[in-house]
Amino acid sequence: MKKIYVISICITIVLVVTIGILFIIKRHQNELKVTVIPKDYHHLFLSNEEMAFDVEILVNSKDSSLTNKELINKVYIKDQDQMYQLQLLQIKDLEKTLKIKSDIFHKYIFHFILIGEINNEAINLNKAFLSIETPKMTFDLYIGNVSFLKVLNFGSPNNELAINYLKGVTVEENFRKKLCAIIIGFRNNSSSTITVNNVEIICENISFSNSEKIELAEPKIDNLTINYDLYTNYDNSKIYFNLNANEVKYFLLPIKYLQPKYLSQCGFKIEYEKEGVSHVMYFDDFLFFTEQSLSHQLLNNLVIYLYGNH
Amino acid sequence: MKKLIVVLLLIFLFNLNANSYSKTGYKNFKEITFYNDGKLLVEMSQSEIDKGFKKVKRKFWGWQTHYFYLNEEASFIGEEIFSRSNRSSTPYEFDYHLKEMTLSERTRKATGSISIKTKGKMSKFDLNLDGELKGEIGSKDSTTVTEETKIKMQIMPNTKLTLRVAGEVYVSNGVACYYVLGITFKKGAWETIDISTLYYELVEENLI
Repeated sequence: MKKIYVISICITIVLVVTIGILFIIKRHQNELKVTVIPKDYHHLFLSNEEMAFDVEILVNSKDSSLTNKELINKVYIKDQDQMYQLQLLQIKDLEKTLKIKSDIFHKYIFHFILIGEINNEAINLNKAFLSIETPKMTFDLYIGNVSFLKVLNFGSPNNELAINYLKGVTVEENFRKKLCAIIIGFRNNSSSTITVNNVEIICENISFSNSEKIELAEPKIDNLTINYDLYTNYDNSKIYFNLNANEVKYFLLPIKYLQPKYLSQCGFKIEYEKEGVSHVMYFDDFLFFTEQSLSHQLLNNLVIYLYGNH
Repeated sequence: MKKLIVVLLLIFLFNLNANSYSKTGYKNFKEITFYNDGKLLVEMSQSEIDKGFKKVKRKFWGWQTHYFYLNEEASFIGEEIFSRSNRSSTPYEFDYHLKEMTLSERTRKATGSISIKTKGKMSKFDLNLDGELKGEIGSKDSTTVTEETKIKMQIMPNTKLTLRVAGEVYVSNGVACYYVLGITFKKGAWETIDISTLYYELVEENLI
């Protein structure tokens, strides 16, 4: 009789443990995992243009409410102080996968435009989250920093001052490459002298380092990845030089950061003077580099958002 | 006479074909410069490759590989993404939207009886040679970071605007033999080029 009790208890324990394990496995299988590789979104737009931008979202399932446009009610972009409504125009399956730890993630591009009343010509969101509402849940995903600026036009009147060369130089920090300098060429297309009074990166807390500026005979340096301290001696003093009629000048402009940011793309604001008249010229955001491969360390440190019942 | 014309035509076509590939042997890489010691397959002599085959140890079944270079860092000059000339007398408004890069993360090359199978955008060495090399080649996870850019610029009369791509790569190459019951079934040289970073270069030039 005692034996039967022991056997029954053992069987019950085995059954409970098995059911428990199966339940955990089933729950784990149904768990939706979502992640975003944070970056800085810097875009310049013309004043009559929609503020459109793309976010790459990685999802471990091809069948979830997050990637079904019809099931998405509302989308917002927000930080601690501000929130803007977005319209989701398209979700594009890139048909590419990425392995993070032991999970396979599918890559999707979400294409948005800002809607609603936007009073400012500039939008700056520090540590921004993308908030995607579906009937079942809200996905809040950290995407990085956002800075959008509307300008009246790009370039200078009659192209009298032109940027005729651009290339980026990078430094490796925390397993990622960051823009640490640019090689830039200016050409004076006019028959008068142009005085450039400042060259600015359109990105908060990032500045060209005037004291380290180097004039180059030709737009070339030996290595595109260099050792450089991004943070010490932050210098945002104005970059000043003259360009004689039809003259071309090339510079290596190192970049200093006030805080860590991931910068691969940016636009410029150039203040100059010609024949006593001051002008401001904007140059559209330029993609300096893309990383084709990411380190295991970076991928393993990504924040993975878990959602049940998706 | 007809034969002579055919022969000349063939020589011309052959030369045209040979010139369409750059000195690296790859269409996408015009120039590859190693930071340290390194050589591309195309730069190796037959005797160097034969020496590599002698170093491959025979085994009963499967691939056996000898590496010449493993994840050797190099820089490259790539293709032109766009190039627009304005030979008119009025400025030309140019609006370009770069959405997808034409370069894939890994480029493969094989000689001898090793072949490369291509399916859509994916390519692989045959008989799972990739599986054999995996873990050693490529110090990073192979994934394209999807970035896009748009650029609005004015191209002035008699100027040319070009966007070129350059970058950094890891080059690995070697020779491999596939054995079946200890008999060499396949043998050849192979090479992989993994792009780590792509840099974009914008150049405006005067045409006169």
